[in-house]
Amino acid sequence: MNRHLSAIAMAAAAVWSTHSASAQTAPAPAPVQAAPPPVPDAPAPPAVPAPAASAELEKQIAVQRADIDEQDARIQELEQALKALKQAAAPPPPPKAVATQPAPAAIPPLDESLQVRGYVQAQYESHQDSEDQLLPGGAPLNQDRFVLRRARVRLDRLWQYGGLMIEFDANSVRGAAIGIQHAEATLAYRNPDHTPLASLTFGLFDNPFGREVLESPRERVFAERSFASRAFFPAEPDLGVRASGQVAWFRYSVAVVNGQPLGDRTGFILQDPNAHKDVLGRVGVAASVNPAFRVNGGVSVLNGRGFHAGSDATKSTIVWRDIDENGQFSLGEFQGVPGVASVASKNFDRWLVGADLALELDSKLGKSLLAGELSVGSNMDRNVFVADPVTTSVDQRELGYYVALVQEFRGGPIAGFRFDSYNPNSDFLDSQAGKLIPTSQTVRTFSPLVGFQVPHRARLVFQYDFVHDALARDAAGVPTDKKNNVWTLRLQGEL
Amino acid sequence: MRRAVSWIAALALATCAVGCGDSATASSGVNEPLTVSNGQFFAGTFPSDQGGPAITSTSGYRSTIIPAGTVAKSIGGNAASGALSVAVALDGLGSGYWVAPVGSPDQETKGELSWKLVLNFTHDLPAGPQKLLFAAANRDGKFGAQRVLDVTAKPFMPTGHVVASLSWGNDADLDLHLISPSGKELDPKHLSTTAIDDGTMAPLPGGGTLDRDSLANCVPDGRRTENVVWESDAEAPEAGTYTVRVDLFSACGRPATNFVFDLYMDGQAVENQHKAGILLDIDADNGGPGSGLYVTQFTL
Repeated sequence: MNRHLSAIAMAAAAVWSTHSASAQTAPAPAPVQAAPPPVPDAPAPPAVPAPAASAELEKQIAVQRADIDEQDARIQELEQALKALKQAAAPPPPPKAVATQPAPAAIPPLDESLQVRGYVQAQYESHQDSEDQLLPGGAPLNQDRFVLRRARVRLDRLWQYGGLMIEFDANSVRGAAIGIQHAEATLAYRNPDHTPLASLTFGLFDNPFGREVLESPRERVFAERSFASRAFFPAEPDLGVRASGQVAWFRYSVAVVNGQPLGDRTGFILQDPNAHKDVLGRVGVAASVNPAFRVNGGVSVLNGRGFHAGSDATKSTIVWRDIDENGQFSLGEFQGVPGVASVASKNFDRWLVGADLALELDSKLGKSLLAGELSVGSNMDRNVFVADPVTTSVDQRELGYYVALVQEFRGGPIAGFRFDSYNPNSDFLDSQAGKLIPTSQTVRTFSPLVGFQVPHRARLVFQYDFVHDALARDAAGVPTDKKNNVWTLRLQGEL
Repeated sequence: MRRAVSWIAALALATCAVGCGDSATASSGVNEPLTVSNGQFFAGTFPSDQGGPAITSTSGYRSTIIPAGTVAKSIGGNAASGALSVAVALDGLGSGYWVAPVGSPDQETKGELSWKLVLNFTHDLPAGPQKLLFAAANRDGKFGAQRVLDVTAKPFMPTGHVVASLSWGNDADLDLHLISPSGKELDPKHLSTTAIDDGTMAPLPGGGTLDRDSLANCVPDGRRTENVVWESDAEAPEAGTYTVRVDLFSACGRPATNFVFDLYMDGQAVENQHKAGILLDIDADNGGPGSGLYVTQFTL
């Protein structure tokens, strides 16, 4: 009886699993041998006298035989129905798919082979303020041009307790240039999944601050980082030492760097004119709320010291000034300019704090990303409105933020939009009619983009930057928006 | 795919709604005959009187004679109360006008605001009388009455009875050599086509004089031009045939330099004396008498 009940249960389970299996998934085969389930609650047969008991037993046996016959008939019906269903609905099972339970995801061993990766970002860009002229000094004012923005080759090698990474970059932004972009030597103690629990890195690495600076240009859909990020960090890497790691969803990274990153416009790229080092770091979370929704966020701080260069001593000279504007020498037009002593260089304090958040969602539309970042700083602009509080005697307070939305549709299309805002000096005063008027120098950029990508192979993106700033003057002489929008058509190919 | 296109179209519309708008002109105005340091260029005609504040005075300049190519000529003055900016243009020249903010209140006048513009004029500024127009604007951008300053533009090319002119296209050090009918060679070290009088140590009469050694020692001077000038009021030039040579003293790192030679008589270019040529860096020879490429001959 019990054996028959077990067979019925098995057949029912097989029918259910056949119905619920997806088209791509083979039905799970029934166990090869199913142990008869115990029936602990079955009542024990009652004790009866022998003659009466014999008659009673025969009666029970007859009833049970009838039950068994009925059950045998039902089993045959069910087996036939099961066979028909299998033939009609389910594809034949793969020949060797015999696993009875889904195996836990095995962690592959650490890949210690040399990894070579690379990508090329080539583009055509057009700037509204381009002109067929040269800037003083000879730099072309025309920016309507084809540009090799990035051509990078990266070598990685990991082992259990460390790693090495070198990346080279070639570009034509300011003429043909080839240089080193990253050079990292790392000691690491790894989690079971090989991510670093704790690591110590020396070399040229990305400043651990915020989200954009740490995001690879290869992965970023937008052509460049936001305006504020580029003002604070002219390029991502700097020289120094970094301690970083992760525990489950917790991420941390602390670094001590020279404070003169690649692309620095103060004249000391990857050098360090002062002994003080910049200390910066980020703590954050990277968690999957569920398989389709991920959250990544953190807070960052930087504390450092900038450098104001002094000047050399000069010799006495004589200059001629055409005071009467007749183009002829006159005795009174010669002036002696006495030499002056050198001016000592000075340091100044600077700091930056920031917060970032990114939400990623996988849905029927594809992959959606909503990200934002906020940074507040003092004397941190090293690229655009370069901070120099030694000259002005006033600290330059900066505020920058952005919000970006990127939708990667299934099949390849991409659409995105980013709004970023950067106020390089919250205390800026403009002279209007002889009065100093508080005036905003804020630069706001609206950046829609569309594109198409073949994941990990190629990406074609068109981005238009509507730039609203205060770099021009209107008819009344008041700062107003300059016509300097930019569009970029970029193709990225990956190795 | 249809959903993606809908998203992208909505994105474009929303972006244009917030991102499109009026902006100041993108041109820097460097092609204009007049440029203003730290000024904003506006394309269009110079604004007429719209009831704005007036320019009350112009001052701060030493001369109203403006040689073409003049740089950093200061002109200032005062504007009536309420002015925020001053516009300036050359009447009838260029494609627009310049605007710069006014300065601090003038201590000597009641309520007036001082202003100062730093003007630069191109090499090809037409010679002759010109008018500089000024007007002030208030916060609403309304301009007041125009104020005119009459000036006289002098040509970039020196004036004289005869001018032999060499100009070239990059910052290489070229020298004009001119051999006179008497065999005297003019070059940067010998500035006249006539010999030196032993008594007065001045050139003998009838000679042409070299005006400058442009780009000497490869130091850019913004001119790239050398002229031999026979002044109008000087004695008649030495008669005979002159030979013109052009020497590449130093290439200054340039692979090749194109040049032109022109001869002017009383301000008019002489027909058939416009000669063009090119010198390669391998032609550089550090000068000296007899050096240089033969270009042409002319007779006075």
